[in-house]
Amino acid sequence: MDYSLMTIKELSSGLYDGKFSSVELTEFFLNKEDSCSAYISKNKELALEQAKRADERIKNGERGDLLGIPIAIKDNIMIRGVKCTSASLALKDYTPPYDASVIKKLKESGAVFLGKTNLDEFAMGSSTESSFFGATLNPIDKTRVPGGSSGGSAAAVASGTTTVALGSDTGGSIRQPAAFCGVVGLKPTYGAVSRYGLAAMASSLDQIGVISKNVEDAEIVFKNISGRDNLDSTSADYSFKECNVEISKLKVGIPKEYFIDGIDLNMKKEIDKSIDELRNFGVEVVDISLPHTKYALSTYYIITSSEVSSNMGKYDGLRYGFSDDDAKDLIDSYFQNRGNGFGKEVKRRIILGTHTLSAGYKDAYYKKALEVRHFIRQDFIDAFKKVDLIIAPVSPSFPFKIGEKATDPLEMYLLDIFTVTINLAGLPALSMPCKKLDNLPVGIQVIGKHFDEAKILSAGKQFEKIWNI
Amino acid sequence: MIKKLSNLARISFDPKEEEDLRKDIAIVLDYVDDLKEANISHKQQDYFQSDLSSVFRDDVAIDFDDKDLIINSFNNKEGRFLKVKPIL
Repeated sequence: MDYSLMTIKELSSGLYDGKFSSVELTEFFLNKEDSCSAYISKNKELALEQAKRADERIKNGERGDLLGIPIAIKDNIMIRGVKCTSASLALKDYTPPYDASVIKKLKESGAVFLGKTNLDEFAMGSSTESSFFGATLNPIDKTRVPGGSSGGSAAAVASGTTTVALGSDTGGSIRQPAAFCGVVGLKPTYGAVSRYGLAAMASSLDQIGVISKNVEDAEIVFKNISGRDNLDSTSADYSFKECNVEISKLKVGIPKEYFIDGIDLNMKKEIDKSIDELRNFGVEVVDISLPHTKYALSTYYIITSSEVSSNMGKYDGLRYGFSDDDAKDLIDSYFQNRGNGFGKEVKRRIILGTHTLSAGYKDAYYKKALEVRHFIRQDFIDAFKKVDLIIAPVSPSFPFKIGEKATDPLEMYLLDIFTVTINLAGLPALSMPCKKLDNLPVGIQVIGKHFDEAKILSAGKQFEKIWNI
Repeated sequence: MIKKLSNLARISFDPKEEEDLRKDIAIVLDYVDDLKEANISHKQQDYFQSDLSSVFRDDVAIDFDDKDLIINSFNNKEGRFLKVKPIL
């Protein structure tokens, strides 16, 4: 039986009806060839043990959304006793002694962890090419990138080597790879899901979320991982309550700043068509403006680099991680361990962040970026006084060829132009395919107010039927 | 500039890396320069990301149940102690 195209609900009903077991499911996914290099490692032993336990729980009459369901985990989320590399030489052999809070929750739900998926080193990138373990390929066209940084998770879902996956999103790292691979990605509101046990990149922007085949699967996993956690001081007292929006009563805003020069014109046409289709179903579509959008990318790269330079300070290669034995003294070991353990993009961002936080420059860069960030957030709050949801493209272009943008950091950064604002404002957004052009998917973002996940998911489920991808 | 920053960040670079970095950082700094023109001085300044409240834990030591897994990660150890290179 081929389980690769089945949704969580279909698999759950098969498990409960005794049509197959979680062990059979797990073996199927573990044995399926990973032809896109989506995984860094597979956890055969742990996965089969978890599947066996799930089968016993099901046999004892227990039921649950994720009981016995296989899931892949981005390799910057800690599972106790399982290597967590962050796709870096610096953490190549690091084995965490604790579970991330989302992992604890998923263990209680009875999910089965198939393996750890590839990413850009320390989640810094938009193509999954900067992984120490090599690039992941896009399952739709293996000459192209899957997007990033959660490219491994998106490729695993799109290639059917998992049912669903966890990713993390600091500036688009769930939504852009989901769009590039033609699957669904949910970046929750900042604070809706605990970040405890996620290798921090930029702490005020990082958020764990879901990559799945459809919106319903994203909702199921989100429901299971969200909520307050005392181990993350920024997690919110939030619980998900499903809702059913009537799309004929929805008012959707289209921000003019997201349909700028530079966006692929064919992609723009397809997005315009998709928006027209919503109009045909009674959705009211209005033009809106988010005037500070033009400063978003600069603001984002100053804030992330500053936070990166601080967060990466802990990797000294002494207590764990890559260590250079030839260092002559303690100070030299810091320089050698970090210089040889980190890749090019990570070092670039640490140096940039060190500069933007250094004496004499902090006010001009970091403080100014924080101030502008406030106005970017305020733009959205003002817009949501007039509309229920905002719709925008995910990326200005289709997935590009592997290596095409590897030498120009600024060109790579520009790919995040439509996604970073959402992180700066702390909003939830759903990335979903709306059309296909020459077999390449076109992704659209459905953006909601803070903690309005229920609304974007309900609307997303209905848009999915309209767009029928 | 790169030399000073690499000392602050405690990262070694070879000369080629240093040269590449000098170019890359200059391009990115040139791009982010547009923030200077953002006229926000007349507006109220507020750095809060959202309406989240901080969670403070009691200042109580909690015993970690798997110290061995932490100690096993040490690159260099003597018994249960972390061993580092000479300081001077």
